[in-house]
Amino acid sequence: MALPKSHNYDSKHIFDIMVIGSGIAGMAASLFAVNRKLSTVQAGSAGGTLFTSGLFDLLSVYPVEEKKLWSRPWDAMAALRASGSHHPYTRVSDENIQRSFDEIVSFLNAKGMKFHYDKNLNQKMITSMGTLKYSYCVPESMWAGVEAYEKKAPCLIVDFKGLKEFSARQIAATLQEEWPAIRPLRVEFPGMSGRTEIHAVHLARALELSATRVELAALIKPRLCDAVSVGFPAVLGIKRTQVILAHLHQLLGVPVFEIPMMPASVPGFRLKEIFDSELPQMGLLRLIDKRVDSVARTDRGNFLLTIGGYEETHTIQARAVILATGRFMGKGLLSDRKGIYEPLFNIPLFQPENRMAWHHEQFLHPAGHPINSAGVEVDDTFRPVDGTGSVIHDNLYAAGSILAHQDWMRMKCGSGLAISTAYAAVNAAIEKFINKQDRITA
Amino acid sequence: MQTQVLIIGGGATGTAIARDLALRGIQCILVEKGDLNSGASGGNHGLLHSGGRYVSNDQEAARECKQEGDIIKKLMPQCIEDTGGLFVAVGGDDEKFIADYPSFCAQCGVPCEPSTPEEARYLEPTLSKNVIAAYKVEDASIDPFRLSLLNMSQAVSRGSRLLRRSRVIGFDISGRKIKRTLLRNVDTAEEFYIEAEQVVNSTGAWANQVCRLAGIDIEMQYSKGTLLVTNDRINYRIINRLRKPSDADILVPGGTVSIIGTTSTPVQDPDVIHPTVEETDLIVREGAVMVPVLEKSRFVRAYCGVRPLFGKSGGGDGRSVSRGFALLDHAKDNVENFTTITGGKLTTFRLMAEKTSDQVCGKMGVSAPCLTRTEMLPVTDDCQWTEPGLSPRKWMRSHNTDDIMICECEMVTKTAIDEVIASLRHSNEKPGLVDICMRTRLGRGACQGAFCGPRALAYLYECGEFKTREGLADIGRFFQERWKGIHAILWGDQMIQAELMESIHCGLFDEELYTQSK
Amino acid sequence: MAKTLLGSTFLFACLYASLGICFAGIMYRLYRWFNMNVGPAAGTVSPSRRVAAVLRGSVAGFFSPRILWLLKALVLDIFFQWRILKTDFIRWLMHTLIFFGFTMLMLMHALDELVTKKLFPNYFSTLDPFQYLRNVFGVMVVAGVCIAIYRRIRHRGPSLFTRYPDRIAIVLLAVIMITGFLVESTKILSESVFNRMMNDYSPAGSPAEENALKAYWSQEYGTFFPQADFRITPGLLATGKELNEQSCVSCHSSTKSAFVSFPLAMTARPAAAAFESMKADMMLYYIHVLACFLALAYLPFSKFFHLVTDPLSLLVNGVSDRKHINPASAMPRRAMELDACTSCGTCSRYCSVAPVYRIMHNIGILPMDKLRSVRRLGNGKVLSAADLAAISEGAFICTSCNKCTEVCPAGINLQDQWFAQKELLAEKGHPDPHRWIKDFNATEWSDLMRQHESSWKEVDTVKGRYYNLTDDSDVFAPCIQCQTCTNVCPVVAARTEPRDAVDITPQKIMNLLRLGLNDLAMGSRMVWDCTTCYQCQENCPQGIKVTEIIYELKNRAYDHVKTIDRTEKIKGESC
Repeated sequence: MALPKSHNYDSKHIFDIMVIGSGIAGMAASLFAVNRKLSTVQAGSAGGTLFTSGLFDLLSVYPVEEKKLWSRPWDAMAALRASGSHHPYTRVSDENIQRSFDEIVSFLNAKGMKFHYDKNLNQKMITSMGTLKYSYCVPESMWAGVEAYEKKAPCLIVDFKGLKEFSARQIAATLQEEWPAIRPLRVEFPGMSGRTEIHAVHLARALELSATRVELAALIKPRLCDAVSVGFPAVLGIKRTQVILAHLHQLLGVPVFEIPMMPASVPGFRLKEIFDSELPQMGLLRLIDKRVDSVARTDRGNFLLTIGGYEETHTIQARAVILATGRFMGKGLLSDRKGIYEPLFNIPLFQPENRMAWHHEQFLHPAGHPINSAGVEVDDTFRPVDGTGSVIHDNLYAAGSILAHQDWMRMKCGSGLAISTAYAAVNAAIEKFINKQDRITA
Repeated sequence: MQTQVLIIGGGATGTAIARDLALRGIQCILVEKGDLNSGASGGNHGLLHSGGRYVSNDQEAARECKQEGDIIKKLMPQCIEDTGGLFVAVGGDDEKFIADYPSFCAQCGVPCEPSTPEEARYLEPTLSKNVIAAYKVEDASIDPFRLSLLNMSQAVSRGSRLLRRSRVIGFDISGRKIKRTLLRNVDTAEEFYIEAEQVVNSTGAWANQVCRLAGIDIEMQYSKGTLLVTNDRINYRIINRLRKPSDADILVPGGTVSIIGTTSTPVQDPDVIHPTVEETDLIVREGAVMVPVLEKSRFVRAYCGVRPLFGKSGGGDGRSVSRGFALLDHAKDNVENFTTITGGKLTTFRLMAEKTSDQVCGKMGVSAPCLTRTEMLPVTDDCQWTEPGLSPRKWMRSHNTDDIMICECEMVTKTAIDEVIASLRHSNEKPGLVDICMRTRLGRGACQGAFCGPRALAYLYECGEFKTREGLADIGRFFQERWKGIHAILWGDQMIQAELMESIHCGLFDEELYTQSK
Repeated sequence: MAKTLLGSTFLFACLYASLGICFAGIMYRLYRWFNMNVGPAAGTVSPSRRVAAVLRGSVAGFFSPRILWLLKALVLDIFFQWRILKTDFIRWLMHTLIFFGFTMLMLMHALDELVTKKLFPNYFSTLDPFQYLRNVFGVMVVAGVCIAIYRRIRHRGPSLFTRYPDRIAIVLLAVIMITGFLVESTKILSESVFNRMMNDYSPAGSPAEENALKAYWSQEYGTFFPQADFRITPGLLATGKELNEQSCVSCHSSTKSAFVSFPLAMTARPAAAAFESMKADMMLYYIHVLACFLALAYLPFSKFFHLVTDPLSLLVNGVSDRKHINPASAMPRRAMELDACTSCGTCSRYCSVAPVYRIMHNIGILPMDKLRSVRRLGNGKVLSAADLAAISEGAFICTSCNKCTEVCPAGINLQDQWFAQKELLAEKGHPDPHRWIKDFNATEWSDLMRQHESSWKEVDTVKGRYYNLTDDSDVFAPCIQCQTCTNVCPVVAARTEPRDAVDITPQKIMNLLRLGLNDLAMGSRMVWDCTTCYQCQENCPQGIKVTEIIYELKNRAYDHVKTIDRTEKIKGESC
């Protein structure tokens, strides 16, 4: 019986690493740390990964102002490295970026969220806006869509009455020139007929029941005609996606796939469920719904972090901290009329001189908004540096979108940036422990 | 096309002239290069002045405001929220001005009731503790969109026509008369003529551009005023700073929001204006002196309008130029059937229309009297969806299981959008997101279109309004329209909102790659 | 035997009288258990069917694998009081001291003829270890009672509210223990008791020997001889000691092993003569025994009955199936559980809505008092409208978090009791507001509320009643419309009726507040159906207190709508 007693965090216990943030970068950092047998604690609000599409981008647009699209991400990477950019990627080797992807994907594959990727290629897939997207690492649930697009084969796109953000007609109309063989179909979601508003996560949970899938397939099957695959909004289950894909494939006789759509995204919930349930079993102390309120340092240089919850606060001691708090949405950066700030460690940020230079007058300006390249500057081991280039704390690391000199939204490098910099930061932290010989290895 | 009177410019004055003339039995065509109220009539506070603002520097304007305000409150109550107003001074404001204020009001016949700082703070809890004096006045807030739409609606019901997105590009003048007016549809570039007995130029800030087409030069100045819209309503009454008119000294509540402004910056070209970062900072800083909560409020939009100021100023920011209006009979410029009305302010729009119509009627030999001084403005449902909070109330009341909410922030329903689409279709126009946004509250809430844009777009595809990839460009235009209003106020929560918007539409959907490359 | 046991026919009669009362009381309790109507389908199940169901259930439970749970409950929860230890060590200490001390005194001392003598044939109450143990157990009980009193003073408050039955129980227990010690002390001092023992056990002593023994007892055992006509010399003592060894120690240990009574006696020695003359030992003995009888007679009507009901409740709830509730056996169980509550207040301390009590000051919110109200309702008491309103407010504020059931030391299925309570309220025409709120839709409610705006003001002027989350735009303004709250909401997910589907979702509530349409928000089904699961709040990327906002809206709406006569017609504008 779980008693409503307060947890007792032992403030004298010294963790090897504290990861702050629970987006992809924070989750990846925690995974890499527990995989390396570090005693790890992670804090951050529960909703961190819910805004991810489920696609792991590496790099597909560079330079952004030219809107240059790359089918071969490593060629794009080479161009980025050659340009003299300070992009965080330039501090991680191609091999290590690849290793970081391999490690996280093998973890997710083992936990039931399978991914497909070709080491040298970006994959092309359609989105719910009818746009075409290049991504590197694609969930199994979306893979048939990649193949269908490549062949431009006859395809049925299904949408559900009441799911306001997703229109199969819109996708078909928008893509009709390049892929005339798509056909839209609207059905009422089984068990939700008559409902005007339905929500993706609820559909996903309903589809975990096989009876729902049988009913749904019965609605679609007679309308299949020549279609050799069926696209759905990204709602095919949360915990049992593989089973649902196989079952629908079997029921319909053709492969099915998901089309990424607006948040809150179901693939994001899938990632959250896996990280939330699996990482603690691997030894992570995960403080869900806790934010770090303040930071101090002990005489020996360890960090003392005050973690706040709704009623109580706790103190955590850690030898090193990985700051993966994200940008404005993640509250890693704050902004007011005068500038942007990093609230926890008060790290000086690289940022435009004043607010006038933050944004373009055109929202969709290809060059992107200058504020998006602002952030924390780091050295080659991902330790934040101040304006003069000197390291601020020798055991503080930063990873993910909080880093400066990148515009992940325009370059399509968000997940890759999160994963590879988390990888580099964790490894750099280990390197330091081993060199100083003050870590008792497990 | 032929008509009796061609009115150029669909702002508050132009539409009111259309109504005034229609009530006198005269048919008109009103042409507008953009949409109704896309000029200064849409870019203002929505404040029906009691006159209190002008008692110290423009007594004539103050008297006009008082008289017109009373008429509008009585005859057009559906456009008015009779909030009442306060004039407040804070520590450091000119003591002499404060003491003299009641006598200024008395001279102009503007009612002004002395209050106390305590009472003012009781009435308006968000007021600064530093308030040292307060007077109660009869200000009200007015919905200018509803006003213009209703005026136009009555004119249309009496046989007049509205042509949107039609720009005047030339006049055929012969024999001291405009014979034909050449227009171009801004979307299709199609050109056409309108023949009219009389031509009225009610283009506000663009009056001199139109005059120039007729070979007439008039002296005009432009003053840009920027305003900020808060995420929620923070005051009940209109709050004015008790001092000589200056920056950010009026806070007007309207519906579910409050609007703080304005600035006054001279500009050269009325077509290239946008709120700047400096202006927004100035407004927040100055406004917070009076209502400190503005310092930490979430703003959802910044917008600006250009005040058309007739005549030459002695320099400065244009506030010293009279806010009175100018009615020009171009007979003196050898164009007999051409009249220009410009300058003025929203509160006196009806009077401006009356004077203009009187002059036009005089030229036409029509003796019918003006009825807008006595006739109620009819209530129609034409533009009800711009009313904040109406859509959710109707939605819940009807409990129609087929109706869905497309915009969540402002709770705009499918029913509302259907009505707008139908009315646009009725006037042979193709509905796009920008048009729907203007006629409902779609995209005007916190998300500024990030979520409701795609939902509305999906709906337009479902209705068959879009059949090709044109939707991508349409939503790009819609975002840009919203972006204009937010890019100067992106800090705090609104910065987070903008980041979310960009991460969805660029980060996930790659929409920026679909924009037209130069 | 009875005579030797009790010393008088009077006490003997008293014993039988109290046994009779106790028996009748137990019978009455049993009768109530099978007749009280608590919970759904109450009127439809006859008492005989209830008896049958309980018997069937007990037999079935006994021969099912769940018997292991029963054993677990018996050992862990009843014997070691595990459930109390988990929540509160001091209370566990108190309870264990009293429970073990009293039980042992009862078996070893009160029922010595029936129990101790059977186990130890050479038992004498004055012999060690019995004499020593009696003191040990007595001290345990007294210590326990002291802790109980301390707790009731120290933690005085809504979760530990001392009522009449608590006082009586504590006082009775204290009287029994104190008189017990005093009886022993006065007996130690008493010459007549000594003489009686002399007569009973060694009548053939010479006066010299008698004096020697008296001298020894006076010196070593503390007996007080007022007219002692001997001088205590070492020789005399040595003789006395020898005599004592010969004839006394076999059935009377040194009184010093009565480590409480002996010092007590020594302190009271100056007054020994007075005690002797007023036969204090007999008097105290009478008081002691009568108090015990009183307790016995009072047992079925008092808090002491939890000695029976708590283990019963723990056992029954240990084996009963919580998912499939059979109304026939559930009703007696509920009635029995009502008797098992000791008002220990643990549930109230762990109640998730206890903070609401601090604001609203309606004691009916706290589970301990809610259970009392179930009892009152079940007993068919006629309650005032105000009481009913307070009870129904308490009932709907419950968030069904189940904490109370988890922590109840008596293992009472409180969750199920609340279910029953709602039924009882519904019977009385006071159904849960979340049910009668469905009489009208949100718009109609908002119309009604606006018609009663004058009564709003009264409500709103109650200072400090709310945290005012719904008035403070800083609380909801950060909403970025991501709909995560709606997506994680189990209430929205569970909506099946299309009519309900046209309703407000959590994130629409944030928008209604921003648009100033609080009345629509308050009337919406979402607010009333919210289960306070906190999913929305935990997942909100902006850290908005979604759940707490909804919760406050519910309370505000409740305040508003309860002033409205629901039978009156809505005068809202037609639309």
